[in-house]
Amino acid sequence: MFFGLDLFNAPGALEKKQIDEILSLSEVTQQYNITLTPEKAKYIVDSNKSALHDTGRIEFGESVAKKITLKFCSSPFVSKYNIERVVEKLLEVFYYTKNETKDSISDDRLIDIMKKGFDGECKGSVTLLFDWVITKIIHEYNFSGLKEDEETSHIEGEESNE
Amino acid sequence: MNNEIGFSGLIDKAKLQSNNYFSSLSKQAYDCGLISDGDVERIKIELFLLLGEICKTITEKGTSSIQIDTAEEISESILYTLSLRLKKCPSPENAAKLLQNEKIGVLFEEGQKELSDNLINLRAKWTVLQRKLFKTQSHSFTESAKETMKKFFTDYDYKLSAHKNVVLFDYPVYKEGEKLSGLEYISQKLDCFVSENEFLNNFDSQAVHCLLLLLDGIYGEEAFYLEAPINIYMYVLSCALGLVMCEKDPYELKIEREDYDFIESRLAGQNNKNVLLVLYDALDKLTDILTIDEKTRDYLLFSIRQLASEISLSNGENLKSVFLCRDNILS
Repeated sequence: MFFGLDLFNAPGALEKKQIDEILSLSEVTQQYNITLTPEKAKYIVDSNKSALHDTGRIEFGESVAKKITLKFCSSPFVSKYNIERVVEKLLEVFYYTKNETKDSISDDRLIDIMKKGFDGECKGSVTLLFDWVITKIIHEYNFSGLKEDEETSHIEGEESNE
Repeated sequence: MNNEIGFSGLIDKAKLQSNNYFSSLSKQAYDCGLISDGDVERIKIELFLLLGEICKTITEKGTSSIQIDTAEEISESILYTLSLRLKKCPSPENAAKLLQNEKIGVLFEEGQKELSDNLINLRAKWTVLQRKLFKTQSHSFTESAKETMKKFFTDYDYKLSAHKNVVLFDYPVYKEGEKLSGLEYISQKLDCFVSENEFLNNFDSQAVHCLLLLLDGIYGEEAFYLEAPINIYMYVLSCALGLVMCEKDPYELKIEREDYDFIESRLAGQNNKNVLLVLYDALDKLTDILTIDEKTRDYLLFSIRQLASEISLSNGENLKSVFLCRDNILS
């Protein structure tokens, strides 16, 4: 829809803004010896777009790709060699979980849970993160009527970069 | 206004779609060079940001994305609201100029104000209608005027789903009109309904009831019109016109065999122009007798054009089902 709203294709200027936002994280990521190149930043932005598309969502607020990149750059399992691919997989898991919990879990809370699981019991495996942590979270939010303030088992001792 | 004369007539109005006005206007304006690539890019960005702003108001706190079906719903509502604002411009060229010079957010706010005002006017119109509603046993007539409209005012959300048809106006008004949606759809239906109701109020309910019972003979069902969604107005109008043609009392709503024969002799096999001339003449006489306002008079004029077209297209074959006559049906 060229003259309307193509929901899956943000205008070029907005996409450039998203890439710049990822690049602006370099100052933080370099503390962990991770350099974000324009190519890597574009890869992350494109991955975000694909993950949104695949899960049937659109983004309107602060970029989740930026938040995930910032949060996970401190992980011992993330390096300059794999950051963009790890973020790509995490984004898929993130939006999937948002759908399955019907948005009842906030972005920041979900990212915190994912980070703790990824660094802890899953030892850097996104597949295990999905199997062990995410499926449980989805079940708890859907069948136990869990509210964010009640949920504790997955976030104890969580850390924050922000 | 002088500036506006320079580019009038550039946009092909035939290519503008009432139900998709914003997009079709933007495309036409772009094709004519009234808006540039830069304008299109700016408009798209502003639309996207506006969508984001509205999404923020309806999502849980701390959520920065939304499911696509919800977003699509909101984006359709935005485009509908903008379309309504742009349709208010004196010409499509003026609308294109407005699109070029004004921020989307401002146009959207003005569109919402327009929607809100129209909603208030529609409710006022509906309130008056309910007081003056023609008394009939037609279920769809009464149900549409009362329950359907009531449901519309309860369910319609001009802020998030302005484009949505929250109800189906079951009663088939005679003037079909353009394909519209949301508030425009229901306004169009109610406007027609009000004119038809105004006309029907000139007649006695029992006389209309007796006339419509003749439909039983055509459709083979007892009290057919009570449950079937059929247009009452057209049968009453054609009967009244027929009686005026025969110099009979239109309030009687009763066409006798000899009246029908006379009507048939005037209309059967005639071309559209001749049928129209006969009906115009009858309408002139009828409007002198009835109490009707200017708007209803216009509606009657439209109606006889449509009626003339239907009669001439069928080569007079449909006269028996247009001018209901007991003798014809019983025979």
